[in-house]
Amino acid sequence: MSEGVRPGAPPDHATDGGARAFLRALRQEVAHHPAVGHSLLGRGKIDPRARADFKIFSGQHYALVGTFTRYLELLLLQAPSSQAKLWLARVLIDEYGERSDQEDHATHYRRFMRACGWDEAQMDQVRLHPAVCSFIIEHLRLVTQRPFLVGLGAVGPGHEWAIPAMFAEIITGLERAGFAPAEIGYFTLHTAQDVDHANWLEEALAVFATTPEAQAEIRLGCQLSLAARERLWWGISDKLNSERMLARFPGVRSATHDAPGEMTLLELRALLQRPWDLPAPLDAAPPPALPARS
Amino acid sequence: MLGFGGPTPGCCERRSHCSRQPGCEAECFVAGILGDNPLRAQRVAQISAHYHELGGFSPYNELTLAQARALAEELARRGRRMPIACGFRHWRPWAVTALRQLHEQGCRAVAVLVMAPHQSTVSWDWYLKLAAEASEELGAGSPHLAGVVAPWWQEAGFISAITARLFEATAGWSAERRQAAGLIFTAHAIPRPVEQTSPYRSQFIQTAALAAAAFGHPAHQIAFQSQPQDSGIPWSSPDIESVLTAAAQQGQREVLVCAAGFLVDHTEVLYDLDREAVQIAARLGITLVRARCVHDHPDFIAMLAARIATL
Repeated sequence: MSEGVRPGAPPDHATDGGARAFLRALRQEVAHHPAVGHSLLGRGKIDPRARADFKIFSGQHYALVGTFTRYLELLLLQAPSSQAKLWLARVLIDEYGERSDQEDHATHYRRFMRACGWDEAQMDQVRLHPAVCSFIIEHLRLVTQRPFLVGLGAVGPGHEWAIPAMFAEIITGLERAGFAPAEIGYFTLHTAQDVDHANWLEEALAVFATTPEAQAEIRLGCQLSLAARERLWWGISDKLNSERMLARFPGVRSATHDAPGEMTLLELRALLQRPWDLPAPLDAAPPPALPARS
Repeated sequence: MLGFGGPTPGCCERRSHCSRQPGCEAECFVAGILGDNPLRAQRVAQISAHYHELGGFSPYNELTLAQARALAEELARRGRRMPIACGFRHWRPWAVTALRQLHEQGCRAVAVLVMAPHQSTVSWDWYLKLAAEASEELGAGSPHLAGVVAPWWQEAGFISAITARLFEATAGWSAERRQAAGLIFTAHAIPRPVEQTSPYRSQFIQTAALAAAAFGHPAHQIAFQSQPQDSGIPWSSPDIESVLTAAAQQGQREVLVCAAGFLVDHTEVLYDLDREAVQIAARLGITLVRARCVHDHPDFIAMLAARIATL
């Protein structure tokens, strides 16, 4: 827990309705989710990737980096109390760049993208895998069309608890690909900050997660976020394999040759100007049943 | 010939924290597929256990090498004598080793043959990417990648090899018994975001339909196998358990299963079908008979040789 604003005292463990125990179990669940331990990330240790692989990775991942604050802004509107708004606002201010030399995360990320070989003008023009677009649409839906706690489960445990573990694997892959520390500052900084964000949001979650119904909503949001994340990593793997293959065998058809057309980030942004007009629901699998309590 | 690979005795020398003890091969192999991540250790252990139950290793490499030998013989018979090397994605010999071997044998140009019948980015594209990376790694010491053998999911030689295996598995059955038994073709499930961008599913459906027609079966099914149990997203469906359950509900008491998405009987076939699916079927009151994969069936090998000749 960092110094600074602490809206409201954390709940008493004896009277918190099992909130802390629920959150501990949920942390374990997040840590072992296949999205968090996805092969795209973990394989970097034994199957080193090249800078060109990360160029494709970053072209897809950038769409998410620039959108996360939007989830928080929209969720803030749904927050049921000033206390909840304070916790969210605190994370949001950090995401805007308070502890990052006033640079927001998207600006930071573009520095990494330039190190990967992107020109600034190309970054919004990358054709996005459908799973990337789905990830963003799914999260906008979770923070606007679901109960507040579902949205909080998505941006809290689903994001801030998951990102440090995922980024640790990505950083290993980046180092093995030869990136200098200054080039991957987005990942190292974000990892440290997200540990703080995770702790701040846990305080908010502990206030709310005091009934089985509230816990089920938080867990649902987390599960839906992680499922979208698992789809995302597979989508990026799909892009990585097809684009790297095509770059080397220009005369050979990729397996994706007849895949439907893809949106650019610019086109996606235009589509999502009005979050209340979100496209049709995703074909997401229902989240697994609640685990038995010991 | 590029294929998936399977663990054989001896350290892979890729993992920094491997015990280097005999028996570590299965864990190293599975960690190489899932990612060497402590958070996935439980899943790695679960899948490695399948390999340990079957002796700790996979027959994949040996069986693929047998296909390579048969193909070299067939090409020589056709007057196209050429060395063939196998390189694998997840085990020795690696793709780079195969290319180096060919270069040392004097090859200056090579054709790439992807040993997967149905195309997706986790097979076709990835294998080709692997070949190119291996070539880049070797630089001037690599033969030129001169061509890629075109996909063959619907080719007559592949279909007739599958059909021959179906007849082989049902040798001694009457025509009535063959018609009455359920016929299920299986392929490895792939995650939906990958399936959605590729022809994997439609190609598999086409392979199954062609083989069923050649076998003279009136009502075959398709099923996908080997999905991870812990995934939070949909993979190819229906899975084999659902198809077996539906078959039981329709009164089926005998099914013939053909893993048409696989080319050799390796661990996913030997464990996921011969152990798990057989147990599920038994619980449902069904006898499951599995046809062998195509392996080095002459029709299959002749088809590959003919495709290489067109390059």
